[in-house]
Amino acid sequence: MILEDIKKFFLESKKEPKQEKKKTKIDKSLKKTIEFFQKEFDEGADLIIRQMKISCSDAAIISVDGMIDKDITNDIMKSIVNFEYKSSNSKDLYDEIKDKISAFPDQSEVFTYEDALNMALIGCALLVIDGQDSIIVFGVQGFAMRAISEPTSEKSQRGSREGFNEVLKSNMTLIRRRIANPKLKFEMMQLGSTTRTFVSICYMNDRVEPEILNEVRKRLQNCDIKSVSTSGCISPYLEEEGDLSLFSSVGLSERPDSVCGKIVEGRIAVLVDGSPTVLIVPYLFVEYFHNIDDYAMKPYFATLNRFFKFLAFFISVLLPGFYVGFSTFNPELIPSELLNKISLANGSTPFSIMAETLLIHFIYEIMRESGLRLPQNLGHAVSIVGGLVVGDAAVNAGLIGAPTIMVVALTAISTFVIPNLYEPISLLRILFIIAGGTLGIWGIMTLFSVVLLNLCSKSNFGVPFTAPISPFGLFGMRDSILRTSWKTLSKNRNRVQKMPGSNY
Amino acid sequence: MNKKIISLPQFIVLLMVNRLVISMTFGPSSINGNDIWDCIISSAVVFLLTFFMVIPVTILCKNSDGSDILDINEYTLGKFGKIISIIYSFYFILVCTYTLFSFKIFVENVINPPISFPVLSTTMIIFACYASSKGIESISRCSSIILFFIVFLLALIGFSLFRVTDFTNFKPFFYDGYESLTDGIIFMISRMSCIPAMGLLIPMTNGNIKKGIIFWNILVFSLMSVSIFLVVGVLGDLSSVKLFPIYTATSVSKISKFENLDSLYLGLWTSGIFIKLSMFLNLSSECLRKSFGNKSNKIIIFLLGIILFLTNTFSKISNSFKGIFNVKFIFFFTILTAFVIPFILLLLKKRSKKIVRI
Repeated sequence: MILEDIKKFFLESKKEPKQEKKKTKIDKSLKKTIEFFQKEFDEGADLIIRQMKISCSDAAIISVDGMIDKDITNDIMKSIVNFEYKSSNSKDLYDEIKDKISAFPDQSEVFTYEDALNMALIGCALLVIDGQDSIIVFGVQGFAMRAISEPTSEKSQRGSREGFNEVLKSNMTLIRRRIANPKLKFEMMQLGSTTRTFVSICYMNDRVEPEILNEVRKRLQNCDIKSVSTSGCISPYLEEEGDLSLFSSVGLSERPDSVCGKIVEGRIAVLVDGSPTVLIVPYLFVEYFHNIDDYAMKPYFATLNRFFKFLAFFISVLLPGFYVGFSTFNPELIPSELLNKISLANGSTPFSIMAETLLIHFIYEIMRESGLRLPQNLGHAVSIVGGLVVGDAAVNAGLIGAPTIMVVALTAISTFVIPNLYEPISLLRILFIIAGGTLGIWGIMTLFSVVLLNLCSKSNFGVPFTAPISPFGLFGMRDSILRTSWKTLSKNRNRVQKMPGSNY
Repeated sequence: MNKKIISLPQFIVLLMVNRLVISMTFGPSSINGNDIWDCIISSAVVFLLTFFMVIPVTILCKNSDGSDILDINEYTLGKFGKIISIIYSFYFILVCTYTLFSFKIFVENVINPPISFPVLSTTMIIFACYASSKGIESISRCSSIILFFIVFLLALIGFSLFRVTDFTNFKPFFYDGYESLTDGIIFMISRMSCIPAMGLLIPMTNGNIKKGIIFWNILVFSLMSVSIFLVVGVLGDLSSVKLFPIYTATSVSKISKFENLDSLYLGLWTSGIFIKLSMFLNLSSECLRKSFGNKSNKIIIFLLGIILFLTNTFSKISNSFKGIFNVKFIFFFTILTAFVIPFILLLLKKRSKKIVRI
C-alpha cells in the first residue's frame, strides 16, 4: 500500500484533464456587463468604468488603469461623443460607431465576457453600448516600458546595439523589422492558468520543419504551469521528456539579430511577454560557442575565436580536475620544474590539494553570487575584497597554495568566455575535482566519457544535440567549429532539421 | 527489424575503439612468452583470415531486410534459437569480464596506483550500465569523439617513439621458431569480438558494409603492425619480458618538457574500456531481451551490471575462476559466435529458401 502511494506520488502526475471553459455571451444590458467587470475585479482600484450617453443610448468605456494610452483613448472618445448621429436605435448607433466614426486600425469586436475581460487585461479599451450583445475593442495599449538597449549579457563589437525588452509586441516588431518577409509567422497563445501570459511562437513558414513546429505547439499547449513569469519557466517544457542532462537543448538569446539568424535556419523562437530572453529550439551544443560577432569578422579569425572558446570550455571544466588528479596521483606527467613549484607551494598548506581547490571554488562561487546581486559599485568592492584581500591573504597565511589560486582564477576567466554554459560548467568542475582527487586520471576520463555520452545521447525535436560533430556532417561543419566565408554560407543555407542524424 | 540508426563511419569507429582497447593489452604474456616481433606476420595472417571469417555474418545480415542474427536465429531455429541468443549474450558478457580483468591486471601489476581498484571498476561498471541504457546510437556518437582524442594522442606518442626507434633492435622474422606466429594468430583471433558484434550491428548500419569492413580491417592490421614495430624498435629485447610492452613504450615517450605520456595514454585507454563495456553490455542485454520477450532493457542491463560486478569481484578471490580467461576458452567462443553459428545459420537459411521455391 505504502509503495503504491509512493509510486502514485512520484510517478503519476496530478494532471487533470483540461476542460474548455464555457464562454458566456455578453448580455444586452449595460448594467449587467458593468456588474460582471466589477465582480471579476472585485472592486479593484485599477478598473476604470466611464459611463456616458451617446446619442440616445447609454454607454461605457471600460479599461484597466496604467495599461492604456490615455491620449489615444481621449481622442477616440472625443470623436465618438462629438459626432452627430443619424441613427435612432442602439443597433444602428453601434454599427455607425463601429464602421464610420472610429476608424481606428487596431479595432475589433468581442461577443463573450471572457474575451472582453482578456482584452481589458492586455490594455485594450472596451466600448459597451446598452442593448448590444457585443463590445467594440480598441487596441490602445500604452504602458511604461524599458527602452530598447544593448543586452548586457550578450554584448557585441560589430553587431546591432538593439536587444529585446519585456514587451512582447515590441520584441515581435524587432524580429519583423529584420525579416521583412511574409513567410515569417507569429502564433499567439496564452500560458499559465493563473498569469495567462502571452507567448508567441515565431518561425519562417517555408524553412521550419512542420513536425518540429507541431511538436513545439503540442508541448506548449500541454504545459500545465500556473504562472509564467519568465521564459525560463517554460524552457523545461520544451526539453525532451525525462531529460536529466546538465546541458539545455533550448537556446536563449536577448539579441534580435541572433534570433533572426536562427529563425532563417529553420528554428523556432518562443517569445514570452514580460521576458527579454527568447527561447530557441532546436538548439545544438556547438551554438553555445557562437557569437553574432563571428559573422562580422573574417572567417579565419572567427574560426580561431571559436577554437579558443572550445579551449576555454575544456580549461574551465577539466583544468582543476587535472591539476588535482595529476598532482595527487600522476605527478610524473607534470614537468619537473613546475612540479617543484607546486610541491613547494602546497607542501606547507594544511589541506590536501583536492580540499584546497574545492574550498577556493566554493569561496569563488560565493563571491560571484554576492557580486552579481549587489549594486554595481558594491559588486566591484566585493571583487576587490575577494580577489586581492582574501586570495592574497590566504596565500600569505599559508592556508592555500598560490598555484591553486592561479588554477581557479584561470578557470573562472575561461568560464566567462561562454557565459551561457556557466551553470553546467560550474557543476561539472566540482565533479571533476572530486573524480581527480579520488580516482586520478582514471576517474577524470571515466567521468569525461560519461558526460560525453550524456551529451551525445541528447536530442531535442529529433535533432541530435552534438550534431554536426557527432554524428559528423561535413556540410554542417562549415558553421559549427569552423566558420566559412559568407560566400560559401550563402550558397546553401544550413537548416537545423537537415543536420546529420536528425529524424527529418 | 532494426532501424538504421548508425552510419557507416560510426560502425567503423565503434569496432575500431573496441579493437584498440584489446590491441593496447597485447604483450608476450598473450603469446606464451614468445617474441612479439613475429606477430607482425601473425597480424598479416589474421588480416586475411578476418576477411574470411566475416563472410557468413556479413552475408547473413546484409540480405536480411533489417533482421539481426538473433532474429534470423529465431526465424530459422524456432525455440532453439533462444539458446543461441543466450550463447551470444554470454559471450558478450564474457568479453566485458575479460576486458575488466585485463584492466585489473594492468592497474594492479603494472602501475600499482594509490587508488582502490574495486572502487574504480565498480564506478566503471555503473557508468557503463548507464551508457548502455542510452543505446548503441549514443555509444557510437560518443565513441567517435573519444576515437578522435585517442588517435590524436596515439599520433603524438607514435611520433615521439619513432624518433627514438633503434633499427638494430629488429631481428629477422622467426629467429626463435614459428611458435610465436601461431600463438599470435590464436591470440588475435580470440580477441575478434567485433565479428559476433557485427551480427547485431550490421542491420543497424546505414551504408556500404563491405567497404566499411575492409576499411576497418586495414586500420586494425596497420595499427597492430605499427604498434609492434614501434614497441620492438624502442624497447628491443625488453619487449619480450614486459607484461604490457605497449604501455612501457609509451612511458618513455616525451614531447618537449612533457615526459611520461603513459598517463594520458592510460586515461584514453580508460575511455576506450568504458565504450567497450557499454557496447557489449548493450548487445548482451539485447540478446537477453530478445530471448526472454520484450522485458525492460534497463532491468536487464542492471542485472548484467550486477553479474559483471560479481565476476569482477569473484575473479579476485577464486583462482579456479581464472580458467575462463584462458586464451583457448575465449578462442573457442569467438570462433563459435563469429564463424560457426553464422555459417550454420546461413546454410539453414539458404536451404529453407530452396524448400520454399520447390
